[in-house]
Amino acid sequence: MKREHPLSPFYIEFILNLLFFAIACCILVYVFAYADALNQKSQNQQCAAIEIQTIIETAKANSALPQDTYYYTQDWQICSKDSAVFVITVQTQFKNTITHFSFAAENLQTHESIWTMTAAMKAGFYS
Amino acid sequence: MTPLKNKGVTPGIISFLCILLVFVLASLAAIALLSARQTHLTVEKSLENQQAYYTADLKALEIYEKVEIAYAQGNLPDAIDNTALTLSDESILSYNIPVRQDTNLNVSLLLENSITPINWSLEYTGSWKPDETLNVLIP
Repeated sequence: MKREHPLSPFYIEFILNLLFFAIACCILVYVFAYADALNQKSQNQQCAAIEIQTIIETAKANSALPQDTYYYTQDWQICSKDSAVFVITVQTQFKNTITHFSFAAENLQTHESIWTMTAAMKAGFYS
Repeated sequence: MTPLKNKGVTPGIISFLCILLVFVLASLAAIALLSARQTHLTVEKSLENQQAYYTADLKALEIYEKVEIAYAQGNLPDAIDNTALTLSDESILSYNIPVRQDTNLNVSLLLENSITPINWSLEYTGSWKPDETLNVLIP
C-alpha cells in the first residue's frame, strides 16, 4: 500500500508562496514607508519655506525686525513652545544699513534640519 | 487524508495568484515612490528658486547702498561689484542682477535729491520659441 507523504506538493507550494509573499511584503512596506517619509519631508520643506518667506516679507513691510524664534504645530500652525513640533530660528546680523537674516527650520522631535535660508532687508527702504 | 487539489484547487493557481498580487503591489509601490520623488524634486527646485531670488535681492541692496554713497559724493561709477550701471535720461539708473538662468532682478533708481527705487522686479530674459510645426500624415 502506497503511503502518502505528510507534505504533499500542494502544501510545499503553499509554504513557499507564503514565504515569498512575506519577503515581498517586507520590501514593499519599506518602499511605501520611504515614499511616505519623502512626501512628508517635501511637505515640511514647502511649509517651512512659505513660513520663512512670510516672516521676511512681514519684516520688510513693517520695517521691523522679526522675532528670534517661531513655533509651529504638526500642521504648521503657529503655536506656543509647549505644543510645538517645528521651530524656525532667526539670526540677525547688521552690516551698515543692511540687516542680514539667517533662517533655520528644524523638527523639534527629531532635531532634523528641514530648511535653511538667508535674506536681507534695508531699513526704511520698503516704506 | 484527501489532498486539497482534489477539492478544486489546481496546483500552481496559488503561485499564480501570489505572483499577481505581488506584481500589483510592487507596481503601486513604484508609482508611490516615483510620485514622491517627483514631488520632492519639484519642491527642492522651487525652494532653490526662492533662495536664488533672496540672494540676488541681497546683492541688489548692497549695490543700492554703494550707489547711495557714490551719489552723495557726486561720482557715480560705471560698475559696482562687476555689475554694470546704466544711466538713462540723466536721472534713471538701472542695473540687473542674475537670479537664475534667463531670469534677472531688474532695478531702476530715480536719481533726484535723494535716490528713489522705481522698479525692483524679476525680468525674464530668455527667448521663447513657439512650436509652429504641425505633423501632417500625407497618405
